[in-house]
Amino acid sequence: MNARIVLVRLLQVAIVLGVLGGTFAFVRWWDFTLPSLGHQPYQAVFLANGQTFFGRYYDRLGPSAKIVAPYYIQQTGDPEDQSATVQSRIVRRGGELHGPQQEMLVPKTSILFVEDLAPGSPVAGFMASQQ
Amino acid sequence: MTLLLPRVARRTLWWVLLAPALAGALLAALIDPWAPPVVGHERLTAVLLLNGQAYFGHAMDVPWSDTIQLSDVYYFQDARGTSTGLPLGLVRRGDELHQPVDTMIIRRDKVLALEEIAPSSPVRAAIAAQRALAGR
Repeated sequence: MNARIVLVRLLQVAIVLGVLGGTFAFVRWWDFTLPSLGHQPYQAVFLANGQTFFGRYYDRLGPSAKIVAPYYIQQTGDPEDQSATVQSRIVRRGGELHGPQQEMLVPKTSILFVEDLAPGSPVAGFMASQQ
Repeated sequence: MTLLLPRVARRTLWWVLLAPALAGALLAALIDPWAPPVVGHERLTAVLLLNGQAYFGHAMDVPWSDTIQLSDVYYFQDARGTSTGLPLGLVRRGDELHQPVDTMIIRRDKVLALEEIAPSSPVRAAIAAQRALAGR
């Protein structure tokens, strides 16, 4: 095998490794998210069990969507008790007993609907202030 | 356009560009480089179900499957009747009356959400303590 063929083979191996690594890194960064052009920065995601999460919603290729930095409304007090005062506060997901990290994958079958939060929304304003 | 290229060029294009690109994309979909055995801490996932239950363990979430596999599974159990005096206990799945093996196959349409468990999570600490007690 002459030197030129060896050089070509080495170059091919380098390109293969480069393409493999580059695609791997790109797909990990991309995470199969679809571009959300024309949407507001924050969304409300209503789930099939009645829960609602607020955050940055990303539609993805595949069976699951992603909510980044999710928040939810927590109510204190007994909503059944007419005399008790029910207070609501917005809570950043992460402080629960199982300590979830700041991304949540939600199967699309569990999502009822998604709404953009208006720029003047107090919930969106609160989330923006926490960034 | 590739059909217009000579056969050798087509083969080179496939083996040098397209095949590695496909392999890289497939590996990226299946492997998390920040979790063992590559680097980093053990990757534990919380699987929250539509019925309100939550299971913790190693999740195998393949995008083209309609099920999610969870192995080495732990879950919360009401512990008020036990000697610990704590309201909740973390239990390893497998000691139930029907003695299931340590892999659950969960239908994706019954899953509410999947969340990675943070390194500082109390659940992770409880799982580590359970394993230490059981010598696992």
